[in-house]
Amino acid sequence: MLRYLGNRLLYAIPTVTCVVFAVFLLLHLIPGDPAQVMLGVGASEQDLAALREKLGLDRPLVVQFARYARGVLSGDLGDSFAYRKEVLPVILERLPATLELTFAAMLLACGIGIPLGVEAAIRRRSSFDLLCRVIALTGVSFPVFWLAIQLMYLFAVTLPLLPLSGRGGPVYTWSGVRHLLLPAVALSTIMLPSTMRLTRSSMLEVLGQEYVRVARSKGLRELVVIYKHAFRNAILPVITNIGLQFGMLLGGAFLTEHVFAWPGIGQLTVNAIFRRDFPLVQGVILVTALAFFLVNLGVDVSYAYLDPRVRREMAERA
Amino acid sequence: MKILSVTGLRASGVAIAIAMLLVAPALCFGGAKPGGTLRIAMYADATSLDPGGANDIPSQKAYNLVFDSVLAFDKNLQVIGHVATAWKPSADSKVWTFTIRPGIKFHDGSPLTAEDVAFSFQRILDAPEAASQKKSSIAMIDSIEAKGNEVSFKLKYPFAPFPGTTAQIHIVPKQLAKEVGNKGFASRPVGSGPFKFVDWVKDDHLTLDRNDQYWLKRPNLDRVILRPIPEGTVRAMSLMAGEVDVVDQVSSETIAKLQGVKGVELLSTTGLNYYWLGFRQYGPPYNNLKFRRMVYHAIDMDGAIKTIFPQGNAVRAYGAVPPLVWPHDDKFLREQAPQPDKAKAKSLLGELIAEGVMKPDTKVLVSMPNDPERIKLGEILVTNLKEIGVNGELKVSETGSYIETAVKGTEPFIYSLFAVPRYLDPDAVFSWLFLTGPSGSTHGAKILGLAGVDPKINDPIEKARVISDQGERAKLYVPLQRYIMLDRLYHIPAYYRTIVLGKRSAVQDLLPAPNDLFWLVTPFSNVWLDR
Repeated sequence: MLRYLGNRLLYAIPTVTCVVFAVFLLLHLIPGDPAQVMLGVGASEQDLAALREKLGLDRPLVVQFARYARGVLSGDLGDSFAYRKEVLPVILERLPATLELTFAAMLLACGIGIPLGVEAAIRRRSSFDLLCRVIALTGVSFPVFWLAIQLMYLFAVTLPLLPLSGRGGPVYTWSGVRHLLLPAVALSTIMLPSTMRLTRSSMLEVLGQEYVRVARSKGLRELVVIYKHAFRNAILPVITNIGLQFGMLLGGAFLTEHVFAWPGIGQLTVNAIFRRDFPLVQGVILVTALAFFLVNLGVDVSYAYLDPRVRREMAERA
Repeated sequence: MKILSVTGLRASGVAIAIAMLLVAPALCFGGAKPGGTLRIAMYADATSLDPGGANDIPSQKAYNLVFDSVLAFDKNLQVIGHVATAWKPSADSKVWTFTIRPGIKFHDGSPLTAEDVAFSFQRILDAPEAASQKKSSIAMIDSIEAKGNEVSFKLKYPFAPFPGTTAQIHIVPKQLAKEVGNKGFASRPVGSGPFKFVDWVKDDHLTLDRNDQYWLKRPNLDRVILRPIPEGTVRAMSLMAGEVDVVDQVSSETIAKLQGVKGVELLSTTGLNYYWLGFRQYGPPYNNLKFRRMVYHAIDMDGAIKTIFPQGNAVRAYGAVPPLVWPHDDKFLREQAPQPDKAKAKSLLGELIAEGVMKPDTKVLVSMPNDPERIKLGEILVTNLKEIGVNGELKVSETGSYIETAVKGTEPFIYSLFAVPRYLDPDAVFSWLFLTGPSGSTHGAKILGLAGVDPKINDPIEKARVISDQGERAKLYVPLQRYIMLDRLYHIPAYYRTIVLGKRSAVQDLLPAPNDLFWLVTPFSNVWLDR
C-alpha cells in the first residue's frame, strides 16, 4: 500500500507542474496590467514603472516563471499584489471555510443522494422512482446562483429561520451550523443529482446479477441482500464519482461563496482575478489542484479497501 | 440628500406634521441614544487597513472610521479643519503650513503630534508598497518639516488646491508604525479616529469599538461591524431581513425592491463620479469635430439615462466637474450643448461623407468596459447611430483589459470611463482628464489621445494652480470647461451616479456621503440607533 501511495504521489509532480505552468502562462497572456489595475488610470508613468519593477513585472516572462517556480519549490508562493503580504497565509486563512462548505455539501449530497438512489432502484418504475428522477433533473437544471437566492428568500427573509449570509463561526458551534446550512444545501445540488442517478443505475445493474439471485434463493432477508450483497458492490462507481465531483464542488463553491458572502478562497479568487493579482490566483489554483489530487488519492485508497480485487492486484504487484 | 421612499410631499401642512413626527421621538427621549451595534454591509471587503497603502474604496470606508485626516470635509464637501486647526500658504503657494490641534490621542494613548503628521505623509512618499493614487496626489511635495505644533510642506511647484489633497491622508502614530513595520501595522492598525480596531476576519467581518476618548465628540455607537456582502440582491435581502442595519451601493434593480419595505429607508445623494463618452483622437473620424457633433446630435442622452436608471439613480452631466465641486456652470453648458436632433445628425453625416472623412459604410466602434450600465449606454448609442444611417459596432471588454487597451493602445474609438476627483478641487478634474505635457501626469489625456500641448487647455490649468483666490481660479476654469465641452466636444458628458444607501429606520442621523464613505461620527453627524 505504501508503495502504491508513493507512486501516486509521484504522479502528482508532473500534474501539478503542468497546472502551475498553464495557469502562469494563461494569467500573463490575458490583457490587463496589474500595476495599472492597482494604481488606477490616474497613476503617473513613473509610479507605474516603479510598481512594475517592484512586482518583477518588468522582467521577461521566462525569468518571471523561473523565479515563481523556484519560489514554489521552496514553499514561497510570492506576495499578493493587492493584500501586500505573502500568498500562502492569505489562502490558508480562508481555506478552512471553503473546505468546510465543500465537505458539508458533499456529505449532504451523499447522505441524501445515495439512500434515495438505492430506494429508487429497489422501487423501480414506482412513483417514488419517478419523483427521484424529477428531483435529479430539477437539481441539474437549476443554476446554483438562482437556487441560492430562492433559498435565502424563503428561509432567511420570508420565514426567518436561518441566517442569510456569512460564516457564523467554526462548524462545531451552533451558529456555525446555522450559517452553513443554506450554502451547503445550495452547493450540494451540484453533486446530489449525479450521486442519486449513479447509485440508482449501479444498484439496478447489481440487483440483476446472479450472486444477488443466489443470495435471495438462499432465503436471506431482503435487507441483507440489498445492503450486504448488492449495495457494497454498487457503491464502487459512486465513490469514484465522489472524487471527480469534488472538483465540481470546488468550482461551485466559488459561486456559492460569492452569493452567500462566505469567506473562503472562492471570493478571494474572483477578486484576485479582477485585480490581476497573479501570485494570489496562481497560489489558489495550486492549492486547489493539490486538494483535488489529495481527495482523489483518498478515494483511490478507499476503493482499494472496498474492492477485494484491487487489494489482491496491489498485493500481487507488491 | 433626499429620502427616496418619501415622495410627493407638496402640501406644507403635511410636511410640517411629518417634521414634527420626526422630531417627536428625539424630544420624548432626550435626543440621541448612545449604545448599540451598527451592522453595515459593504459591497466588498477592505484589502488593507493601512491608510498609507490601500487606496480602494472599501479600504477607505473602513480605515476612515479608525483614522483622522489633517483636514476634513463638511457635508457640502468644503474643506474644514480637523486634526489641523489652521493652514496657510506662502505668498507663492509653494510652502503650506498647518497648525496641529493639541490634545489628540491615538487609541494606544500616545499623543498625536506634528511629527506623526509629517511621518504619515513621508511614508507614503517613501514606501514602494504605498505606491498608490495617494502617492500621485501628493507627489508635488518636495520636503516636509515638523516644528513644534506646526508642519510645513514645501512643494515642487505652486499648488493652490493642496489643502484638499491633505484631507485624503490619514495620520498614523510614527513610533508604533516604525516599530511594527508596515505589515504589522496593517494587521493591527492604531489611529485616533472615532472607532478602534478590534478584529478582522477577512471577507467575513471587521469589528470596531467606540473610542471613548475621541477628541471631536463621543461616538454614540458602541460598536460597528462591517460585513462584505458582494452580491447586491443579497445585501438588499439582508437589510429586509434585519440582518444588517445599513447597506451600501444599492443597485438600480434593488432600489425598486426596497422601496416600500416596512422599516427600510433609502438615502441618496449625487456622487462625485463623472461618466462620459469620449472620442479617442488617434484617428479619423473620431478626431473630426464635425463627426463628434454628429454623434452628439444622434444620441438621446436624457432618454438613455431614463432607460438605464429607471429608478432615477443617476443625474445628467453636462460638464466634467461634479455638482459638489465648484465652479458651477451647468446652466450654460446645458443650454449650449448640442441637442438630440436626428435631422441635423443626418445632415452632418452627409457633409462628412462629401468631405471624405467618412464613407457610407464606415464602421464606428463603440467600446465599453464590462459594466452593465455602460453596456446599455453603448447599445443605445449604436442604435441611435444606426437610426441616422451610421454603422455602429459595440465591443465589450473586461475592465482590466479595457483600461490597458485605452492607456497603451492608439486605436481610435468611442469609449466610456468615469472619474472621481482625487481631491475636491477642479484642478483634480481638469489636470487628470485633459492636461498634457510634463506637468500633466496623466492617462486621462493619453486615453483621450490629445496630440501635443493645447495652450487653451494647459495654460488655465497651470495658472489656476498658483492662484489662491477661488473666484479668480473659477474665472479660468469656466471658459476652460466651455472650450473642452462645447467648442471641442471631446466628451459627451453622460451622468453622475447617485450614491444610494439603504438603512433600517432605527438608524438615526446617517447622511449619505457624496464621496462614498461612511459618515458615522463627523462635526455634523453622530449616528445612533433608536431601538
